[in-house]
Formats: sequence, C-alpha cells, structure tokens
Amino acid sequence: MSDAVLDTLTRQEYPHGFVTDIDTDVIPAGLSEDVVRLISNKKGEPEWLLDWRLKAYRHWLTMVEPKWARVTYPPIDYQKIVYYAAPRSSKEGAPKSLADVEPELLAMYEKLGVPLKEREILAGVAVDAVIDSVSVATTFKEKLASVGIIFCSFSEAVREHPDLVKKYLGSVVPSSDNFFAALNSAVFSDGSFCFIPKGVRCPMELSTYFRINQADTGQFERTLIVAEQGAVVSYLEGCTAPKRDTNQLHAAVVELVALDDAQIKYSTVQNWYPGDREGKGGIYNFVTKRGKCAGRNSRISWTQVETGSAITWKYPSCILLGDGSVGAFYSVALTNNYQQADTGTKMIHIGKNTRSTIVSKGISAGHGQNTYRGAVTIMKNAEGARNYSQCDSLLIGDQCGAHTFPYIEVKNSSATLEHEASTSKIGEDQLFYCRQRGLSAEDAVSLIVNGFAKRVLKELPMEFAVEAQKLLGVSLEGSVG
Amino acid sequence: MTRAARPTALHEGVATLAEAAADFAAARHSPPWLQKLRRSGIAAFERLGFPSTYDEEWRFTNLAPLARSPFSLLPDDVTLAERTAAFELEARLGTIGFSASEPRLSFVNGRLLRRSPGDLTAGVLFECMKDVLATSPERVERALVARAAERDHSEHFFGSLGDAFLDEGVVLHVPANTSVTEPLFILHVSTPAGRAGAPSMVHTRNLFTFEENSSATVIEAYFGAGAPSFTNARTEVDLGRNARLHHIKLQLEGPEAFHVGHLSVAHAVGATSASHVFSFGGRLVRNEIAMDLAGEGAGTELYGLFCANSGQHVDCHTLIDHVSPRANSVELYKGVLDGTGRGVFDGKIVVRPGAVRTDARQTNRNLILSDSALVDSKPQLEIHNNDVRCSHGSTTGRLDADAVFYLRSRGLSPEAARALLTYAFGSELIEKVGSADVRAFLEGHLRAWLPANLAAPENR
Amino acid sequence: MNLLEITNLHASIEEDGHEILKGIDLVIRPGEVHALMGPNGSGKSTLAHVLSGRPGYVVTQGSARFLGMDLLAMPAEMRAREGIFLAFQYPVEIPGVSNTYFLRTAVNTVRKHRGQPELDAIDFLALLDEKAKLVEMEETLLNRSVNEGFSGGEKKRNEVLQMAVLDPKLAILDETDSGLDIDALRVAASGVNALRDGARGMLVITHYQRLLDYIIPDFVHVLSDGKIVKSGDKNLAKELEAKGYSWIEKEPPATASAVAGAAAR
Repeated sequence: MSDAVLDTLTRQEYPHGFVTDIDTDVIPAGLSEDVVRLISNKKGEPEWLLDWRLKAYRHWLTMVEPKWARVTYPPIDYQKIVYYAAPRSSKEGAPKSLADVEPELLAMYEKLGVPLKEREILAGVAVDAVIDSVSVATTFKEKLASVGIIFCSFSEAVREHPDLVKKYLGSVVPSSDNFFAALNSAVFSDGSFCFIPKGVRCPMELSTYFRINQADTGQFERTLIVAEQGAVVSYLEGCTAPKRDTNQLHAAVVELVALDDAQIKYSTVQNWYPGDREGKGGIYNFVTKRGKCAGRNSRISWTQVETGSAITWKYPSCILLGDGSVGAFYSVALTNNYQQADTGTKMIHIGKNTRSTIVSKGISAGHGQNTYRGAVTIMKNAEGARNYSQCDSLLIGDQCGAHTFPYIEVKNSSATLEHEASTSKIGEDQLFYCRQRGLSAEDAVSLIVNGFAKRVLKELPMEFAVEAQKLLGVSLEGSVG
Repeated sequence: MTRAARPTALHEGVATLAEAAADFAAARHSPPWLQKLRRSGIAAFERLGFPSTYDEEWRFTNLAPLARSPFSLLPDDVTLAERTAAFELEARLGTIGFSASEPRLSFVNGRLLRRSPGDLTAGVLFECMKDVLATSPERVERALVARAAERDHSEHFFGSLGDAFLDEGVVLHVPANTSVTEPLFILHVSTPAGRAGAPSMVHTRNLFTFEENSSATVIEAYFGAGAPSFTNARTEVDLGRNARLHHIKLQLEGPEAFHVGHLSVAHAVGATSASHVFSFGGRLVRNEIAMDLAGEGAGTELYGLFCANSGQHVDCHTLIDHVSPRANSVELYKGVLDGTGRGVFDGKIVVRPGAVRTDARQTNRNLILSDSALVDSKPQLEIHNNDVRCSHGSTTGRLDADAVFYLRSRGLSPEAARALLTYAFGSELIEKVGSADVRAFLEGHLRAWLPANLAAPENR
Repeated sequence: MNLLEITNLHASIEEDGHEILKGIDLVIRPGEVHALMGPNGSGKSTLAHVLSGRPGYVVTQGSARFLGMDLLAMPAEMRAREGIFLAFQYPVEIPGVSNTYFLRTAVNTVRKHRGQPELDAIDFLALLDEKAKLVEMEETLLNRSVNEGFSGGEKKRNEVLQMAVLDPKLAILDETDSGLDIDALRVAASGVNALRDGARGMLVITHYQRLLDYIIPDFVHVLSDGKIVKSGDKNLAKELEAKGYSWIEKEPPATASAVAGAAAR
C-alpha cells in the first residue's frame, strides 16, 4: 500500500469530540469514605445502599490494581479523579419529563445524533441518556410501563423500586469481584435499570446513551437488566466523549439476569474518544459486564463493536447456570493509532446441556494492539456442554499486533469444544481487485474490513448495524497506505 | 502477590534441594567457571522457588507433590542391583525393535551404564557430559555459560536447578556437511536404587551442536521400572545453517515418576527441526519445548501425543518464537485422558515484528475417555506484524458416538470399537515418525496402553 | 481516436528489477478484438497488470495512452473508472462481502465518476438479473461472498458478469480460458461475444488457440521475451497451434512499424 494513500486517509477527526458548555455540579477530586457518603447523599439514597457502597469501598482499599492484561498505561492517580459531576438543572429536582430537560442538553444529544424528542423517533427505540454522573432523560417510559416494563435511570430505580434493586444489585457481579468492580460499587453514580416482567416481550429496543462531558471526571455507571420468566429484551448502549489531552477513566458494571426461558440481547457500540494519532488522551474503558443465565433455557448474548477508547479492557461474560441455557459473545474490536484492546469473554458452563458461542474479530491498524482473551470453563456437572469459538485477527500495517489467548478448561468429559483462530492481513491482491473495479483504496479497505466483521455485525439490531459499519470505516481512516 | 501466595510445601522443598546441591558442588573437583555456574544455579533456584499455580506458566500444574517428596542424588557408583534391573529393561527394549547398530548411551538413575558405539558416522562426537567435563571442559564451557546467562533473565526454576546439579548427560557434535544415518539413542532407565534412603533424583543435561548442512536423528528415551523418581532433563541444541535435527522423545516412566523435560533449539538460517514427543504419563510430567526460529527461512515441526490415566498429570508446554522472516512452523499435539488423568496443553506462537512471511499453524486435539478426566488447553498467538499466515485450533471431546456405532454395527464390541478409535486418534502422531523401528515400538506401546484402560468399568 | 496506444513499453518487477516487458508497441482501436498469445513467461500477464495499474511493477521506458490520456500516471481505480476492465486470471476472494453488494458499489462508483446517477437497489438488481443471464449465473452465486467457494468456472463467469455490468471501453481478459472445461469455456466466451458491440475494444490474452475458436479475434499478436514478435490475423493463431511457439521464437523479431502496420490493417 502506498504512503500517498495513507496520507490522504489521515484527515479524519473524531466527530464527537466537542465539549458542551453546561452548568455542572462537580464535587472536588479525590476519593474517601466521605466522598462515598457525599455521592450517596446527593442521590438521596437509603441507608442500605450507602452501607453497600461503603463495604465495597473498604474492600477496594485492600485490593491491588490488576496488571495481567496486555495493556500498558501510566499509573492512575485515583485521588485526581472527580467522582461526581451532574448537569445542574435550573428547575428543581430531576427532570420529570422531556419537557423539563435543559435545552442545551437536548441540543447536545441532537448533535450526537441521539434524538431525545419522542415524536421524532422513527425507529421505536427507547433511550436513557446519561451524561457524566446522572441520567438526564428517559424516553418512552410511559409506553413501556403500560406493559409492565420498568426502564429508568438507576437512581430512579433505587427510589421507586428499591426491592428489585436490592434483590439483584451485586447478584451477578459482587462488589468484591475485582478492583474496578469494587471501585464502581463504591462510587457508581447512575446508569440504566430495566425490568421485563414475566412473559413480556419488550416492544422496542431499549438503549442507553452514555456521554462523558466534564473534564477529569470518571464515569462509573451501573446497568442492571432483569428478564423474568419468558421475557425478551434487546438493549443497546452507545458511548462518546469529548477530545481531551488527558485520559479519563470509565469503569462501569453491567449485570444481566435471565430467569427461565428469558432472553437478553445486549449490544454495545463503544466509541469513546480514542486519543489522537500520537496516542495522547482518550478514555480508559475498564468495564465489568456479566450475565447470569439463572433459569432453564435462558439466553444471554453480548454483541459489541469496540472502536473507541485509548484502552479497552473488558470481558462480557455468561454464567450458564440454568440447564439448557445459552450464552453468546460476538465482538468486533478495532484498534488504530496507539489504541489498545484486551477483550474477550468468559463462558462458565455450570448447568447441563449449556451451549456457548464465541465469535471475535480483531482488527489492528497503525500501532494498535488487539488481544482476544477468553475462557471457556466446563464445570464438573455440566453434562453435554458445548462451545464453539472462532477468533480471527486482521492486521493492517506492520506496526500493529494481534494476540489470541484462549483458556479452555474442561472438567466434564461429555463436553464438546471447538476453538479456531486465524490471523491474516488485507491482501494486496484483494485491494487491487477492488481498485480494478473502480473502488478507492479507502473504500476497498472499509469493504474488506466490513466483510471480515460481517458475522458479528449481523448480530446487531438493524437500526445500529449500519451505524457500526460506518464507524468501522471511519475508525480505520489513516491506517491504510 | 505471586511470591507471597506460595504454599509452604514449595518453600521447604527448595531448602532441601539447595542443601543437596551445595553438598554435590563441594564434592566435585571442577574448573572455576563450572563451580561458578553451579553456584549461581543454586542462588537462582533458591531465589525463584518452585513455581506456584499463580505463575501463568504453571497455572494448571501444581508442583506441591514434587516439592513435598524427598529425593536424593545417588552416589556415583552404579550398584549391581541397578545394573541388573537396567539390563533387564534394556533387553526388553531390544526385543521390541530398536536395532543394535545404532550408537547408544545408556544411563541408569542418571549415571552412565554403558556405551554402545554402533555404527557412528566418522567425525561425529557422541560422548557423555561427565567425561567431557573431566577431560576437556573447555569444549562445552561457552555453550553452557551462554545458556545459563540467558536463563538468568527467563527466571526458569528447573533450568537453574539443572545448572546447580550439572554433571552428566550427552554431548553431541555433528560436523559440517555430515548426515548421520543411524539414529543416536540416549536411554535413561530409572530403577529401584537398591539402597536405603530417599528415591533418586536425576538432573541430566544434553548439549547438541550441529554445524552447517549437517543432520541427525536423536532419540531420547526415559523408561522406568516403577520406582518413584524425579528426572529433570534438559536438552539444548544449536543448529547451524541449513542443519536438520529430528528429535524423538519417549517418556515411558512408571506411575510414580516425576519428570520435567525441556528441549530448546536455536535455529540458524535455513535450519529445520522436527520434534516428536510421546508421553505416557507418570505421576507428574511436564514437557517443555522452546523453538527459537532466529534464522531466516528456518522451520520447525512439533508433534506430541500425551496420554494420562488415573493419578497422572501430563503438561505439554510449547513455545515457537518466529524472530526472522520466512520461517514456518507446524504443530500438532493430541491428548488422551482416561480415569482421573489430567492433561494440559499450553502452546504459544510468537511472531516478532521483523518476522515477515511467517507461516504458523498450531492444532491441539484432546480426547476424554472417562467421566473424571480433565484437560486444559491454552493455544496462544502473539502476532506483531501483518505479513503472516497464522492459525490455531483446539478441540476437546469424547469419541464420536456415530463412529462407535458404525463400528458396532459392523460387529465390534463397544470396547473394541472405542479402543480402535482411540488408537486411530493417537496413531496419527506415530505415523509422523520417520523411523520404522520406533513406529513399530510405539504402535505396540499404544495398543498395550489401550485395552486395559478401556475395559475399566466406568467406561462401559 | 485510438482506444489504446502503447509505445515502446518497458517494465520491470519492482522487487528485483527484473525486466519483463522489453519494448511493446500496440494500437487498439474502438471495436477491435486483439488476441495476445505467447509461451509461459513471455510477459502476457505482466502487460495486463501494467495496463491496469497493479502495484509491483516499474515502467522504465515508453508510454501507454488510453483515449489520449496518460494511462500510466493514473491510479488503478481511475483507470477502472475511465473504462479499463481486467478479467483476472485468478479472481480474488473477499470473505463476508456479497457479490451483489460488491458489484453495486463498483457500478455506482464508476457511474458517479461518469456523472451518471447512482443506481438504487431495485434498478441495480434488474440490471444484474439481465446480465447474469448472459453468463448463465445462478442467483445463489450472486448472494455469496465474492468468489468465495466458487469453482474455477464460476469465478471466470463471475468476471465476465462484472465486465458486462461495468460496461468498460476496453476489456483485458487475462487467460480467461485457463482452468475451464469446454462447457464453461463456451459459456464464458458467449458472454464475451455478447459484449462485442463495435465500440468496445478487447485484449484477449491466452496461451492456447482453443479460446480463439469461440472469440474470433481481428488481430493476433505473439509475445516472446517481452516483445511482440509477430502479428497477423486469426490464422496466425492456427499456425501457432500447429507449429508451436518454438517456430516463432526462431524467427527474427518483427519491427515496431510492422506490428503497427498489422494492427492498423
């Protein structure tokens, strides 16, 4: 590939990198028990939740930041992070409806392409919009409530549905699970809560749009989705942040619970600011996501398109507890310039006849480092468990890296496991073939990459698949020569 | 976190070993460099301690049973009882098919039993390490010191342990443009020592140097008569330009044996190697292979068959390091696990930034025959440039029920059907061996391993 | 205006500097079908690659003009958009990209370049459907990934289909007959013949005469060691078939003017 083509491709800017000037309630940087109390107090939380936070905080103090991932970054000073930032509303209290949301905020989401005005939404997607530490608006709440679905901010769920929150919070990712999960449990601010009651098939896509706006803040959201017996839901999250020279930490926790015959499909299009071409700035995306297939024949599937963040470090996992439960992980992770990704999944087969599928497509360009790390564990009593894993890497340029670290542990002989992986580059002859048919080099690369990732992209809800395809093309700009 | 969490058993074992090593070093009259090498070996293994399961490389293999067991070095003299037992074992091998013309060095519990010169190609040196250290130590000094220095950085416990007890083994030198036709045979037999005291431990070191355009086949075999033993065997090979090594390792010790083996091969430009490992268990077996494809256009093939039955643990670790352009590697490892047997496959392929046009393929297949067998598989790729073709695959499962049924429908008993299919699974690796004698021997051994296991009630 | 005008073209392999083309002269006018024959290693495919802009070659001397434009100064995709089509000897597989989607992207890129409106999905499918009949292409192949899992014959038919849809001004067919059985050859050739319209030029590269039984050329050139050593009409191909390439290699090389004369005849 010629250098000239490379140069023409380097102009693309991160389109979501603007800062919105909004009046924000920010607490001073630093972390202590008092800060945990302050956050809890600002949110008017009940005593039990404060205790839960404090317990997590005290446990976190005893923990050491893990180092095993194949990512490098300078030490994080946890005392320099702001743990709470909320847009200040001129009106009293949280917005009751969209009419109460500040116009600047609506304009910001408009600019991001996330429409919060219900009448303008064609696709039938309910959106919860989270900025920095709080949820600012949730659409279609009433319509969803009419079929018994609760879709609201986490703070609201704590106020309105404390029993449900108490029952399920930490039931999949305990507050002591790992360093970043413990930190999140202590200081989590907001996020989304979804509850799909027994037998209900959610009539529309649910979606949360996460935005970091304020400088020096960490975003520690918490998402909890519970699907009761036979319930079906599809959920999507999107993420963006302004361009800044400094790194910002995003340490979220997502918990999914699927009871008998329930199905949860969780899709992520992660486009946090990745840093500039020299690797300066960008979000550290250190996230714990885990689903529990608690019931018989329940299904949880994770689909992720990871194009943003300076560092992505996450393993959306499934605990396949219920007999006949099914877990799936479909991932496209793209690293360009100096981005690093260490991502994958854990499939823990506990119940009988549990099945899991892993399809991971890593794309490395520039100096990008992309690691697939996954574990498939077949426990002693998981009779008849099956797993199929496919992990492919595509390398673009000679400075990048692609790494595959699968762990396969089998403690039951009736299991059948298959793991395949391959590494390849975009062939010169593929590029030339496309160009001979009139495509530019950029379009040819985008086409080939999308073809490579197709098996994952087709798992995305229709409304977002097109978006993801474009994102892959855009994120690769500058990588082809 | 890793060091602090080390169980105490792992500590105690180290202290005992350090004492034994100090005694051993004091009793040997050696040139200063060798004394220094042994001393730094002791210091290193004491500092490192037995690896624990918190070490990523030892995640699936717990060394506590080894660390807890007392082992001692045997005196230099081979007793009559050892000699008799070893000859009996060797004679049994002779009838299985190895020819008498091959040059052979036989050891019993780590000490030289006898030399059989066979038809050794002119110019080839095939000697025991102890003799070389006694008569012309300068011939091995550079290689031994250089390897030990490399090890300083790699924090390799068993390598340092081997340095501390460096004494015996085989030194092989193949001159340029020489093809050794007869396979060179290194036989280790462990027998009950015939003395009171702790079971024996053996630290053996082989050093092979292949000059330009030379080639040879080396068979390393480890047999046991059933006594508890600990063997720490290292083979270090330097392949010159376009040299070719065929290495066959047969690990057939008793169910009480501890065995840690390590083969590392440095490849110059165009050098190629093939490694065949057949491991039929022991209480705890670890086979490590490290292929350094430093020369452009080098190549390596790695084949392994590991079988473990109740009470056995076999861990296969391979590393293929693609450093230079246009190197190829092919790897196929298969595990057969029965009873409460446990198998581990950990294979890593690294492709360095400059190693363009690398072609690397790795496959691991595991067959589980019982309800209580376990297997862990960790096939890894670490790729640092884009001009490569790499793939790996891993499967784990039972025998194909359809295939069993097909054979039964042709009149075979379920046991016979399962034995036949298991044999077919393993024999793919045997077929890759060049020597017909070795193939015949292994076919017999695999057959003998099978029916008894498959007739066990739990498999019915 | 001449469609293609190659003058004293010299080209080497970029990596090792080895010269493959040692002075090619060739003129193709609108509507003409030229066959280029020659033994293995004579430079036939290299000429196709150099004309279509494949990376890896360096032109050291001479020129190639396409409709008066300096062809060699244009990147590969611009040559394609201007109307040069190469039917590959070894069509490339692109996993995950459907044949239909690929072709529609290509067609619309070319149409945009020509100032024509882009085709929507429905119009495109109608066009594709019509052209697919030319090469007896099954619909299932259109929905599969580009060339992935196609047989040799299917790949070559797919090339001719792409040519039909992209409607080039000059088509270069690089050993389209290689690896085809007689039935597949007939289908591919009839597709090509259907695209002979008196305006489109074609350069048909082949090792064997048998393709020329189906695609009757106006001119036949023989390439040997990087030069055109003999030119004639379709009977030259038959003569070659009977006498073999060694017959040509013994003859003194033709002069550039003789070749130009043959082409102009």
